[in-house]
This record gives sequence, structure tokens and C-alpha cells, in this order.
Amino acid sequence: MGRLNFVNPWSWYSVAASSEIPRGQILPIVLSGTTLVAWRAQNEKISVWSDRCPHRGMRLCLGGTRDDVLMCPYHGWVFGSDGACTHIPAHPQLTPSRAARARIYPCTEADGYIWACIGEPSTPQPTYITSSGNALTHVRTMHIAADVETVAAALMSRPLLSGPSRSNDGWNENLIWSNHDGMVESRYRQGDSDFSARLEFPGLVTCSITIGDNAPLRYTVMLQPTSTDNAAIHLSLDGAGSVEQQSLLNRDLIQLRSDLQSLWHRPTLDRIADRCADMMPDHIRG
Amino acid sequence: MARTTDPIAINHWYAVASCSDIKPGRIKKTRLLGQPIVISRLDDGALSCVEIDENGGSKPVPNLCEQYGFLWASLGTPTKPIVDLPEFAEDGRRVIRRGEIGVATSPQRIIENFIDLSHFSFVHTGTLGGLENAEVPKYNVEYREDGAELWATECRFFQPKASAATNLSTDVLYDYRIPSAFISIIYKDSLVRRGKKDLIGLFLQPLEETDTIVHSFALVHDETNTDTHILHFYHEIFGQDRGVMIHQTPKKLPVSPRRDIPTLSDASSIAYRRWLDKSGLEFGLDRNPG
Repeated sequence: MGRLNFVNPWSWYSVAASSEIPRGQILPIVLSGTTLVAWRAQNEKISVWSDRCPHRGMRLCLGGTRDDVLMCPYHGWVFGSDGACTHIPAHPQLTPSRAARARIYPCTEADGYIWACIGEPSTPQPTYITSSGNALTHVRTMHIAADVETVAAALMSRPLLSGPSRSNDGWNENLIWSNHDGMVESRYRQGDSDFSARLEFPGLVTCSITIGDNAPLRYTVMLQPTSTDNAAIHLSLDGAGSVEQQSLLNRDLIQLRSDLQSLWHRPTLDRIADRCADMMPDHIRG
Repeated sequence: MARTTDPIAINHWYAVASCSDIKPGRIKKTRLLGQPIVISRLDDGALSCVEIDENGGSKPVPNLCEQYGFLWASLGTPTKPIVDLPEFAEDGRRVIRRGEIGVATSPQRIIENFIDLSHFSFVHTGTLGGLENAEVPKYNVEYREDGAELWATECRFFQPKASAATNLSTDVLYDYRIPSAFISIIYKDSLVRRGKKDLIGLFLQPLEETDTIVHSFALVHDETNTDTHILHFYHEIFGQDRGVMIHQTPKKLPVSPRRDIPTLSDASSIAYRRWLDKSGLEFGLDRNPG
């Protein structure tokens, strides 16, 4: 069956943790095969542009920032936050042509992450990520050689941290899938443990683990399709969490990556991803 | 990549080696326009160059010539002679062969960078330009030899250190000559011999559309520096250019005027792209209209 396409040009995706780009810094990023540059002005404003100077196609991520502008490393063209070229050093008296502008993309910051969209966004920009109301603690960003659809399905069928015990090489195929309010949910219960996950939109999975009467442990994974076969994921813990929890999350994520990339697990993963796709509402299918 | 089918590219002459690099008993495997070739020195001292086909068979390259200390080859029927550079036969200048440097981009990106003045202040800060003097005065662009050559003349730029032979900050006068899509020569005021020109030239060997070997030379007035010192100066500068060129996209040079946004100082680049467009050449060019 045909898999849905998560790499929607109209979806918002997280591309970096806000802390990765302090004031004056530049970061090259890739979203759905598009090479982008993210940078932060001294006034805190974040911008996400095509990583290409409109003059001669030079990568802007190798340039520099000063105050609230970005400068191309090749000919020193200066661009303001709106993408317009404001100064061409070869002709200091010249007002640059209106056509001389970097290609800008919609971007925003929410809950400590930078979000971007490579097309026309079909939803309002994210203003907060989770419904729990807790601040997110960034654990890590990791690149995985697997498509974002499979990564999402895997995260929804296998808890990180000490969730209910797992079967079938770590994957749980006895999930109860559902979809409501435009979101896909997965859930399973074993003994006094409960795991649930929710795909809120193509770039966001929130997970919750409850054991006995303990307070639920929640983590959030933001998915960034870098190409059709590769994804970056940004993992965060709801609330501060302990160093031990962060370290265990990191350990389990490394194992998840290893399993996701192994051929041995591929048939199981394909079944899980198909099951997840079946539940997908049309607006996410695109 | 297989050998190109572009007849215009096939019918050009290309430098494929520096003659003195091919020692007796040694062979050099390389490519030209996607065609694997092997260069060797025969027992009688002559240079040979053969094309290698998919089955490992070989046949001589149809046109081969030694000139200016370089071995030149053409895979087709040359429509023009090898560029005329009488300065190689004149007295007073030193010939510095600057080796072969690979750059993972199209040959046209390399020529366009070579004829560009406005990057000096940012890419060659402290030698060919300074951040305080980035302004590019107006220069002339003209076609010569019935449109067969493109020239940018009376290019003037303030340079902190224009050559290995000088530490003088001064306004330097340049003429750029593009006698073929894959060759460019700078004629630059000598700062040692007033009224004389130094020459710096690039002979490009396109391996593939976006992978190029740069053969280059300098013909300079310099009686004080060693070859090593002069080479060091040029290699530092070319390394800086290379660091820029490998990061330009697309690697093939766009010819449509809608693709990139030029400014006044890009007059030579605009003319070069238009000249390439009119020539009918496909190899190394991005002809997407944008």
C-alpha cells in the first residue's frame, strides 16, 4: 500500500533547538532536501533562508553576521532580516535592486525550538508544542538513516525509557490505534503500565508513560525530514527531568536508531508504518 | 560520466598536462570531457595521448600538440587554433607553471571567478584587496576578433599586495582576456618593471561537467623571489578562490539572466554568460530559464 507523504511542503517542522543558534550565530540546515541557513540577529530575531546568495549562488552559511544583518562571504553583500540586500560593497553609493533579496522561508520559535516551512504553511505557526504546559528540556538532536514516516511509527510503537515490557525484538504490534481530533494515537497497557503516543501533526510525536500510581513521564519528539530517506529528530523531556532520565532517554534513542537502520527489523517496521498510515487523517496525508 | 556529446566542447583544444611532468616510463591517467585518456612519453621522447574505450581498447587522440610547455588535446576537429600568447617567447619574464589543481565545479564557474574583481576584498583580504577599499570602478567590456574573444579592460583595483614581488599598496590595472570558454588570461601592470605586463593564465581541463582540473601559469617580472615563494603566493590565493567556488550552487553556470541578480561590477560576468549562451555550448552550463 502507498505510504503517506510526511514531507509536506505546507507543514511546519522543527529544524533546530533555539539554544543551538545563539545571537550572531549561523547554522546550515536541510529540510526535505532543501538547503537552508538559519541565523539569529543581535535583536534575537531568527531567520530561515535559502542557503544561497541571489548574486552568485554562494552558500550564505559561510558568511558572517553583524548587528541585525547577514553578510555573504563572496562579495560582502549585506542582507537584512527581511532578506533584502541593503548594501553592495563594490558600489557603496548604489541602492541595491529590489530583486537582490535572499529567498526567505516562514519560521518561528516555540517552546525552545526553531520551526520552518519550505512552502506555504497550511496551519498557523506553532506557538506551543505540548498541551502539558511544562517547559521542554532539549535532550539531543540525532540524525537517522530512515524515512520520517517510519521513524514516527517506530516512536509510537515503542516507548523510550522504562515503559511496559516489549515483545518481538522491541516492537509492539498489539497497539490500539485510533484517530480523533485530527491526530493519530497509539496506546497499550500491560499490567499496571500504560504507554500512549500521539502524532499531533507530521513533525511532532508526543509520548506518555505511566507506571502504577506514579506521575506520567512525558517526552516529545520533533521530526525533521532531511530527505525522503533521512530524518533528524529533536528529543525533549516535558519539564526539567533528572540527569538520569535524560541519559536513559539518550541511551534508548541510540538503540532505536540502531534498530531502525537494521535490515533485520525492516519487515516489522514496514508493518507498523503501514498500520500507522492507515490511521492517518486526510489532512496529514496531504 | 560518459564522454560528452556536445560538439562545441568536443572541438575545443584543452591543456591536459604540463609536458615536463610526464617523465619517461611514466603514464598519466586522466579524463577530458568525460573521456578517459592516458598520457605517456614514448621512447623517442615524444608525448602520446590515447582515448580509452569501455572495453579497455585505445586509440590516439585525434589532435595533439605541445605549446607553452603544456600538452594540448582535442577530441574532435578544432575550429580555432590554440590561443596565441606571444609573451611566452619574449624575454624578461619568468615562466612559473603552477601545477594542477582540481576544483569540483564547472569550468565556467572558475572562469567567472577569475575575471571577477569584486570578491578581492572579501576572499583575498590583505593581498588582492582590502575591506576598506571594496569599491569597483567602471571598466570596459568588449568583444574582439569578430566576437571570438571577450575582453574586460581598464579594470582598476586597489591592492594591498598585488604580487609576490611587492609589498606596495597600490592601484593596479588589469585587462582580462577570455579567448575561449575554458581559458582566461590576466594582463596586469608589473609593479617591478613599469610599463610592462605580467601575465597570469588558466587553461582548464574539464574532467566532467562539474569537475575541473586547472592548469595555470604565470609570466612575471620578478628577479628576487624563488619559484617556491611565488608559487606559495599564487597557491594561497587560488586556495581561497577554491574555497568559495566549491560552495556555489548550481555547479553548472546558469546562463539565463533571470537566474542570478548581478550589479554594475558584474559587467564582465554578464557578458561572459551571454557570450556562452550565444555560442550554443551546453557543456558545463545550466540552461534552465528560471
